Amino acid sequence: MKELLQNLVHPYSRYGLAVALFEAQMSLDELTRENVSEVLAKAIETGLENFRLMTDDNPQTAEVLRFRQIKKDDLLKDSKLVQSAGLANQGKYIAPSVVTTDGDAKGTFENAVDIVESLRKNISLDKTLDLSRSFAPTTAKINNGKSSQSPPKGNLFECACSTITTLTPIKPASLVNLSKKEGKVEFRNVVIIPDLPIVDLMDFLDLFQRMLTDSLKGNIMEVNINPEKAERKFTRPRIFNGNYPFAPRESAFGAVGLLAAIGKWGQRADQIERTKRVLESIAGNEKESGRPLYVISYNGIAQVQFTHHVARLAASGKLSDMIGAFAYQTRLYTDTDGTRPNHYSDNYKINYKLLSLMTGRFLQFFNQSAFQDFLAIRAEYLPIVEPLFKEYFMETKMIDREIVESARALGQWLNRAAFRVADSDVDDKYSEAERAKKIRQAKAKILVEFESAAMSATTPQDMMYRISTRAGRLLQMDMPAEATKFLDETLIGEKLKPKDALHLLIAYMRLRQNFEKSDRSKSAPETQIETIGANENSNNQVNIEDFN
Amino acid sequence: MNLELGFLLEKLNLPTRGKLVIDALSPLSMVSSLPGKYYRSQREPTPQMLYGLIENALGWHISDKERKELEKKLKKKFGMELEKSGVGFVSVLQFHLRFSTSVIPPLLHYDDLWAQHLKGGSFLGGSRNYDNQAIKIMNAERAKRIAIDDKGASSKNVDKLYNFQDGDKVHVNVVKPYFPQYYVSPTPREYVIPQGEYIFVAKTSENLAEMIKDAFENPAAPLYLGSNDGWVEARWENFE
Repeated sequence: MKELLQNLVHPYSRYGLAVALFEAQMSLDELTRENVSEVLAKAIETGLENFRLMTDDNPQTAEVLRFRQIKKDDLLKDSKLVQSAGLANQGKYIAPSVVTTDGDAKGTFENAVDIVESLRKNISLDKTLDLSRSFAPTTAKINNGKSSQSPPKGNLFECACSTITTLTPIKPASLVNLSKKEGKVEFRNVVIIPDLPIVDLMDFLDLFQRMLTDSLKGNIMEVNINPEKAERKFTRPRIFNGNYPFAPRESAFGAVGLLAAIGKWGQRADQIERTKRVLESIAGNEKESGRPLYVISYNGIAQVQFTHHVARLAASGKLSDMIGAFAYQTRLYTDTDGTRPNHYSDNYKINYKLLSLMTGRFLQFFNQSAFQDFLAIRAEYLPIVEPLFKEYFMETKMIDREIVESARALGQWLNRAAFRVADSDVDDKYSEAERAKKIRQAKAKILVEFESAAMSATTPQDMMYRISTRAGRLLQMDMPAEATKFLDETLIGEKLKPKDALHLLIAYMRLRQNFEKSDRSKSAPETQIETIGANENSNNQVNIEDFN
Repeated sequence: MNLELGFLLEKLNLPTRGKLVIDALSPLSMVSSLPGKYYRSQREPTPQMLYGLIENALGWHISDKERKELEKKLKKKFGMELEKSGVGFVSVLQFHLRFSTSVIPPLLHYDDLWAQHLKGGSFLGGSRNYDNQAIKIMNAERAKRIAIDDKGASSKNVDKLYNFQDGDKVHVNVVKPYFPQYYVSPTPREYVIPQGEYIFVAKTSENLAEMIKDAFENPAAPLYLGSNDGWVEARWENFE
């Protein structure tokens, strides 16, 4: 037994073993050559019970479709339920936690059944088998010293553990649009596997199982059908957006979204200690570095690694709200139409995607170059993300609190003043919507001019000079007294490096106020930012257009 | 060349303890499990990889056939099965050098594309270099004037290399002799950068310890761990 365990080095197969132990409520020491085959076989069978989802409701008549798992015995009796053309059109979808495709579902299912049979026949766990991509997605055919390509080999133990990982519902999973191949969108099940030692994995599984249970108590196995639409067809239930609560819909956030969701769930479910422990095992703490998270789909595997800063933000529960703010409510400077960010407009789609990508990357690496890339896309940030900047500047860059607060005062003053000037410049002859758009454009123009001036300065002194002259010229006001500390420290240059000063200024300048009250608007509605709470519902709405 | 390996069949006596210290000179990618589509690196080399490193330094580049004979002799003498690595490498040192504790330095991980060499039917799109005699037909194929595939109906006539017409279907065997044996398929692979030295404590015989120490000071071949561009420097220190 010991040699088998020693050689189980890959995180993918290790996760499967942990799932088997977790479901059997056993510890690693209790595993023996006598009981292990049955433990593994049971775990694979649990996975096969969660292979495909279907609904008994008809979209033509019902307004809510409720989905359930197809039983393993039904799948065994009718191979057409495992894989055949048109299953998706009948509303029989592969569960998001199964790492396979419509084209290889049969391979995954049949290989799993064969492995269970071998385990039940008590075939030696050392027996070599061909590894198949259908149950071990990190493998593919290679030459391995021979003249033709063949699949690599593993022993029955490793194959069984990998199969468990491929099938088990107890892992973070969602359906993601991975690529556009010749105009056709490609959706794949994407799962996240942490690379932790078995003991920590059991902790993670315990936590995730609770999150999964909570999630299932809600409505994630359902989807609403719009009765007014002409074509009423089968649509995927919400679980495909993420099988855990607070899953971000923007896939570019991926793994960091999982950490944030864990933190927020911990706050809500009053399980703070437990979530803190799991988050630290993944993202590390001040003394130990973290472990990678593997983002896995049938198409490919990538790893992501986080810093303990993200663990701290996640544990506080705030990270989830921040990601929500970035994904749904942050507006590009150039996007001035309407009241909400236009994520799907062809003009801005790519830049919004880039913003999500850069934000995700910054949350991952939490260093200066990642922050610079994040700042490269000009957008107005929501006040709720401020703790992120504080964590970065004070904990990572080690800048004194007073300097950061002073920079904040200056940046916020510039933002406010830019709005006031824009508001007073735009005529009130326009309609409400038109006026709001023009104010946004004018404000963006002013802020961009400050940013460009600061970025093209050659020395800190030059930067300060440019900012203050522009403040005088454009805003016709003097800078506030609270900004003095920041300005002085930038000029001295000892406690504050020029790049950090620039980043401080830009970051806080883009941070929006809570209220932007227009003085000249006729009916004077306050353009208040909607609270994040509203997004929890939109989080669970599946955008039906996505799956056409 | 002749190697004096007779001492491997003597009675096992491992009184000497020492440490193997490894300093990586470039990123390492030590893969031992589930390969093919994504190569995930171990955090530390496996004992088999270390044995391979030492045999490399000693210059014990023994052919498969002779290695199998040695394996049989060792198994007979000591009555134990020899362990083999995932790709079938069996070290003849494994009974005479036993690893115990290890020290792993902090690591940086990242994914990179690795030029995996494969041999098979897809060589057409995967080779940048081919014989100049195939240039004309390859240009036509790239311009989609002709098609090269492996279907039965395609022409196997070797004259087609030069005398082809637009719309022709040529069998892949016509161009095969002009391409390298292996094509390249960039595959994602994980690398680790150790921020310090690996230390492996081991016990062995006095004789072997001397041999290993000398071998590392003057290795018979470049030393590497994992992929063969993972160059390392190694040394052996006896515990006094």
